[in-house]
Amino acid sequence: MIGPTDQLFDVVMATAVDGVIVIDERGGIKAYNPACEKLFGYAPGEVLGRNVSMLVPAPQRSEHDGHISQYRNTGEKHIIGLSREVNGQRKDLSTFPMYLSVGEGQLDGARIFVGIIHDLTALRAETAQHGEASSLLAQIVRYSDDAILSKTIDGTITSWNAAAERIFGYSAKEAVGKHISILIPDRLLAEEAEILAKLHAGEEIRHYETVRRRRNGEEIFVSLSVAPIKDGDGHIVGASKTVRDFSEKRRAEIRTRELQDQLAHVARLTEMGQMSAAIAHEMNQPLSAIMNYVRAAQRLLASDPMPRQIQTARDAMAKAATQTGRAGTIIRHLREFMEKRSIQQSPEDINAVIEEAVGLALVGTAQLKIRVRLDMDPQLPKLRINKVQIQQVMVNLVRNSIDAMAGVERRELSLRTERLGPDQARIIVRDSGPGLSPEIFSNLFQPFVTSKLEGMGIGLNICRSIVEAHGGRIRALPGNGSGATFEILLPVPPTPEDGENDAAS
Amino acid sequence: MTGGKGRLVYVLDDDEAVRDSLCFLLTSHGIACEAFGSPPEFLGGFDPARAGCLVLDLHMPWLSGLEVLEKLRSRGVTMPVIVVSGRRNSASDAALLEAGALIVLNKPVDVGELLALIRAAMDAVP
Repeated sequence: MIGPTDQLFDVVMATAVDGVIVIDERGGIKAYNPACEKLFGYAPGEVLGRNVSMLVPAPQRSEHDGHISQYRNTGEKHIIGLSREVNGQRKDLSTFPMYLSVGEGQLDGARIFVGIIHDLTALRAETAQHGEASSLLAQIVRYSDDAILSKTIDGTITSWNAAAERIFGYSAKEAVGKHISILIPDRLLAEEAEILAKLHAGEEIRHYETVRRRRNGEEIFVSLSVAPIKDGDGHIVGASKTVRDFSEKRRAEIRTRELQDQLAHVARLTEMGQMSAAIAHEMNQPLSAIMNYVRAAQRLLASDPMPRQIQTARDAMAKAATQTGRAGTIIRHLREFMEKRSIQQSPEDINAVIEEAVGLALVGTAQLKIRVRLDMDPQLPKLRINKVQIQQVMVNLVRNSIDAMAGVERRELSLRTERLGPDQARIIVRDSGPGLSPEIFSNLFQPFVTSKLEGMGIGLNICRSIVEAHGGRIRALPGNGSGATFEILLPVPPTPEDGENDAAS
Repeated sequence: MTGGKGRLVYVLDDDEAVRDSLCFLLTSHGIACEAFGSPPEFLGGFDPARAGCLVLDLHMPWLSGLEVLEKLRSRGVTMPVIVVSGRRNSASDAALLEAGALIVLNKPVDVGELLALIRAAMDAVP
């Protein structure tokens, strides 16, 4: 080797990040660069002239010698011109993974082999970590309580965890390769198309509550979360799906709602029953007496009455009149009693009262997917109300709306508050139900008028008593065949602020 | 004519206007009657020999209509009893009929129906 070529060789050897080793055809090390020193821990003096097998760990060492002699004898290449992953052995006898490529050349009429060694230690560590991470993920998936599955974009199931087996009753073997529609009740098949459309648009679906079908046909309430799976180029190639079995929770929710309904019904019945029994009993006596007196007088005056009979008839009529007075007194006491009940009023933030009431009324209605729009006027001053009673009114109206919307596709409930002039606040409750029939509309606030089969029809009547006891008004607004709208007007109490404003203007 | 046998219609009701008006009505129809305001008064004061019929209010203090009826029957008094009630239910109706009431009527009663029943009851008494 001469001049600049030598120098270039030296610089290349010294600069190379990867290890470079040159051996002769017997394996004797002829060159060994600084990168190799770092890799193997040997100084050049310790390896030059010695056999390269010293850098190969014991298990492969004999093989290595074999490869060299085999190549020398038969020309059969094991590694020449190729690259492969092998292990190297350091001076301290520890081993490390390396990527070895070997080229063949001629020097001074003899064959030489040039090996380039790339250290794989860091890469391996990374891969190992990655492997651990993915096995951790695999375990999380395996032990998840939620079904986790993946599907291709056309809906073919590609993975299926243990929870999916438990929840849906199909084993992984049965499910993988099948179409996702095996899990979907026929009437909800359109839903899958919607989900796919959303996925195509790159949207995720979070906690979508719906119904799915088990292998045995049983339907279960589930909450779905679906996320698109993208390939390296960002194309959506499938979807991962998490399915939570809500049946237990839903059953509990349904039960709660049933109990609530029953309670509300009992409460209505009791209030109504007590009231009506009291009214019936109290009113029955004077009415019976009036009836008897009047019929007696009629009888006495029927034909040619004697003066004594006329006098008796007069007495009977006078007594009947007294009894009508008695009936009137009963009604007055009843009204006083009702009004006394509602006397406790305090300044309340009507918006908060309504929001709370709506929250109460919506309990257990998640499966109806009602869209609620609250449009509350934050400028509204506090109103003097009995919070419990106004909440009763709101809960009643909202529950009526929810019941009314049970049979329609689009369920929207909107509530609005606003100031209406200086001394009134207005609350609007609107639903997207079928609206009020004209015959219901005209009798709406009468007791016992209801469109519900099991209802007592007393709710709105009580609502009206409450609102009127607050000095307000409640009425149904004529809808144009689309939903029912109720309007409640409540008085805004005069405040010192208003006084100042009035004085200023 | 029912009144001709010298029998009385007894009216037992704790509401003064109701019993007074009923007597007014019966008298106007030529039916002799006597009214009592409480079960003890009635049980101690009625004359079994003149008992034509009893119009009995179901809800009274001290003794219910049913108890009055049972006491009458236990004493061997067989006069027809017409029960009037503002709060009927099938259980109480059954108990009353079991105890030997002729009929249970809603309050307020239909006057024509009551009179017809009283007449029929008085005629049936041997």
